[in-house]
Amino acid sequence: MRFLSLFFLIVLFCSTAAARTLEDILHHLDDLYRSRSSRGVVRMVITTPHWERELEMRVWTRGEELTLIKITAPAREKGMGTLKAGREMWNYLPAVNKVIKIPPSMMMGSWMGSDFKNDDLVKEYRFVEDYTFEWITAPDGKEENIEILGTPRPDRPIVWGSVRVILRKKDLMPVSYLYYDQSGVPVREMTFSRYRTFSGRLLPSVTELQPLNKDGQKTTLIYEELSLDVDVPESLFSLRELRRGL
Amino acid sequence: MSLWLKMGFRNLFRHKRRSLFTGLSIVTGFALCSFFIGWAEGSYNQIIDGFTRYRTGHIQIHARGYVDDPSFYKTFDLTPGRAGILDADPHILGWSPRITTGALFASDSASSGGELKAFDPGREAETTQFQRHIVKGRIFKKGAQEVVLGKELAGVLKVSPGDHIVVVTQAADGITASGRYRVSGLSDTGEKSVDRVTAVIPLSQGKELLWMGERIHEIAVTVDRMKSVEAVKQRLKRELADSGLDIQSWQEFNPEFYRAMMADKRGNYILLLIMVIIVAVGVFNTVLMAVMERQHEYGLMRALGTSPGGVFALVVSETGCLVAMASFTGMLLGMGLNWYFHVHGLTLPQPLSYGGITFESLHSEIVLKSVVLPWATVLVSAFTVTLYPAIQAARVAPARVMRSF
Repeated sequence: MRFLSLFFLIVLFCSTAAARTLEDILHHLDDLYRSRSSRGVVRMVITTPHWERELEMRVWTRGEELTLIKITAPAREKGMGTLKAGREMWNYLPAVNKVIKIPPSMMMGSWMGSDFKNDDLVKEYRFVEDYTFEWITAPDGKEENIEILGTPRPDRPIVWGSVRVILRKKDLMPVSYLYYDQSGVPVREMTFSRYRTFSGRLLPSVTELQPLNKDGQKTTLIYEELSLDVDVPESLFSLRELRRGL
Repeated sequence: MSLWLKMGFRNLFRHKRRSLFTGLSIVTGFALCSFFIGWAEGSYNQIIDGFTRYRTGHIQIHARGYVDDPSFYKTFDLTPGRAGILDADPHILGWSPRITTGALFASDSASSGGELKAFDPGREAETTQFQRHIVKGRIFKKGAQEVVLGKELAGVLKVSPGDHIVVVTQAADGITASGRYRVSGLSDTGEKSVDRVTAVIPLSQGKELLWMGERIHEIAVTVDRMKSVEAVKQRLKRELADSGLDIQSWQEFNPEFYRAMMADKRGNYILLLIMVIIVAVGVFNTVLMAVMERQHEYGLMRALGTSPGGVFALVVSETGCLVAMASFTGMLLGMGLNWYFHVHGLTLPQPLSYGGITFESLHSEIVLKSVVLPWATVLVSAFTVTLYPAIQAARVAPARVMRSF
């Protein structure tokens, strides 16, 4: 009986692995970082042909809607912060003691001089809902990686022409997202590495964003610490908290 | 030959009224043509001069490639040596170093993205007279924490002089920089798209905010006369040589404006051509009439033994004398007109605005072209139209023409 149930389990497991549909994988990617709430320490290294610098920040999130970021280093930028609530965003500037709402016209502007746009922080795209997908390399072959090609659904306000998603077959960890423009030229690459377990969840701890049309420019995001599903009060995501010193 | 010339000259006074009318048509044509050229030339130069003098400067200096592809990082150093070269040129009226970058402007109630510029108020006054654009308040004081906002931008931010705004931008080392500035005045350059996005702070404030050191993006140079532009440009190119700089005249750094002006001018040339044709036809008509109605006279001369060549020379020298006198008068009249409108200008019923510069009156200009072109027109048309009647006159059969005319 014991044997039988074990067998059953194996059969069951095998079938789920094989029947892992495209949609399952996309849900998995969409929910990779999703948590009820989180608290983390992030280092951001921005490299440009003109300078390289490093930001250290603390990040709190609650659900999909609320994010609070506070910069802790370097000294000249310490105390700066960003609050995101839904589709709205504010920056706090300690030098002038002022909270500024980011106007829609600045959404495509860079966040703190990085290759991330303000828009990247605000928009919540979900692969499952916003793209249609097809296999490039299905998981049934011998290859180590799975490759998927996503095309934005026509009614979605997405600037990319398509996105090529590469992920590891063994644990479905993302390897890279390659974004193409409307004419099929790759313009932006996001690579993931240094997979680590945070709060019992395996996640890439390093994300590198590289605009392919700008030579010598990239932004690396490194999760130093990340606690998922911890207690983060909703009151933290207020303009008052944004202004408060560290 | 001198005999024919003398006779031709005398002939003019035999028929005073006819000569007067023919002469008048040439005088009028000449003067009109001359005035038209002078006025067109004058108003274009005035627009170009106004636009460059009060807006962009005649010459601009940038780091190589900045004009085609402006980037915050394409900067160059304003060294004392370079400043010395600019100061030393006697034809340079003023030069102004500028910094330009993208920024976010925020007031208490609103925020908007735009373009942050920084220049020295004193230098800019010497170069482009920026203070003329200030419509409310005043220009910032040198080195003060003050900002001049485009009128439209101030409207978006809902601020007026005396209020404060915050500027957020990225410094040269990548750091997010912010500063708080008092709005000292509002500018109206006449171009809404510019006034919607532009804010200007003092140069020293800009350098500090953006961590620029001695680096700048642009030097605008204004020279004493349009005619000096090319020479000063070449001299600067020579003296500031091999330093990775683009030194360009307004035709180069503002090609759209240059092309627009050139297209406009070409349009004017068509108008001028029509005018020239009208003048030529007028001269043709009167000269032809003057010759044709004297067939009888030429027949008589031939009958009395004048050679065909003599008749030909007579007709040509007659027209020649007339054209010479009439075009001289026409030239004086045309130049007089040009001079009058050069000094007093022609007040426009409605002020003309081009590129944010308002012109209330346009002035004509005395240029060589306004003398040479009418001369050429009158001479060519008068002589071509005289040749045919002169040949006709030389070839008349005396008996036949004396019978029929």
